[in-house]
Amino acid sequence: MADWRYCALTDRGIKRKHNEDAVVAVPAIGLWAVADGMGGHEAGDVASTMVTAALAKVSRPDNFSVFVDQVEDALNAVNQTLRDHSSREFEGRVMGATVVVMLATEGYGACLWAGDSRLYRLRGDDLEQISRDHSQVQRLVDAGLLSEDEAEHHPNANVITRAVGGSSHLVVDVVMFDIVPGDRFLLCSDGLYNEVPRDGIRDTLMAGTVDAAAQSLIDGAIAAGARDNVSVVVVSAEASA
Amino acid sequence: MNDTLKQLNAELLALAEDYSNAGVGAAEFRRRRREMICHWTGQPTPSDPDNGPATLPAGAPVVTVDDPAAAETDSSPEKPSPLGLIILLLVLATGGLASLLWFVLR
Repeated sequence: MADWRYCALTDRGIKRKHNEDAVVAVPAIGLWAVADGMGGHEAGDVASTMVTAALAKVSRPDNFSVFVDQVEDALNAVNQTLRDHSSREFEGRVMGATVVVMLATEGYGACLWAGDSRLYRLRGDDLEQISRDHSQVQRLVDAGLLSEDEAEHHPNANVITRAVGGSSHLVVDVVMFDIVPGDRFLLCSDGLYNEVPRDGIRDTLMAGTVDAAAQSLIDGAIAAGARDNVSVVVVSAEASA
Repeated sequence: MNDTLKQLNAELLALAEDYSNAGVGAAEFRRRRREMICHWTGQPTPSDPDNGPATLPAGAPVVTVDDPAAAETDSSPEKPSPLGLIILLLVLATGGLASLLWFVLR
């Protein structure tokens, strides 16, 4: 089994009265996640907390593909519960959360996500975005109608097309990635990357311990105005003893 | 990412897109994804069948019309039929009229 060092932090930010983000870390089974609630106070809080609570209960089977299935099942269950809860308690208003999950084992991992919370991998000085936003602007980027730079400053940059609780039929995207000792991973909500530029994220992630890097990323978002809640989980793959 | 991994991820995303558009069923989606992941990780593909992504909360009972629990849930009091109500009103009106005539003509 690989050795992991990690630090998970979430902050209300400066402009928001409540923190609707939630983070979860279960290193014993190689699971980390960030959820970003939406629907306003109580609805967003409940949604993101339900997502992370469900993920914390997932068990780790021997087969990695079954592990992926079980995480997907947990997210689908929360999706259904949120839909029911929303129609009962919130008059059908949208009550949901974006989510990004990293599953990891010796040598490889999987990223599952819905929405625009992200997973990055830092290898050497190369920062690679593993997840791909479920957003309107990402669709325009994929279609070649918008550049990555234009997408960052697009007025619809925060309009997402998928979330847990967003529709009755949730489809979670999954991609695989390899892991080598020294790799660093960052899971984050949009409150980070909307405030801190990509180069700033990369440079901060490269420096110091995982705890120092995570705290510096939060501090960077706050220094930049932190208009939204900010959450980061920094995970480092260490060489096995 | 190397080309093999890029190819795998492109196929995983395409499969999810197919599933999203109902181009492939839930069980088939799971089976193919397991095969793709296991092929890349080198683990054996699980032999137990999977019915696809769960759509109900874990542990939530599936309530059907034949389920006693459903029958209990639907055990609200019966509403009186409109015909019965009309007959009752007619009987009361007739009785009232008879009482009035008896009072006037006695």
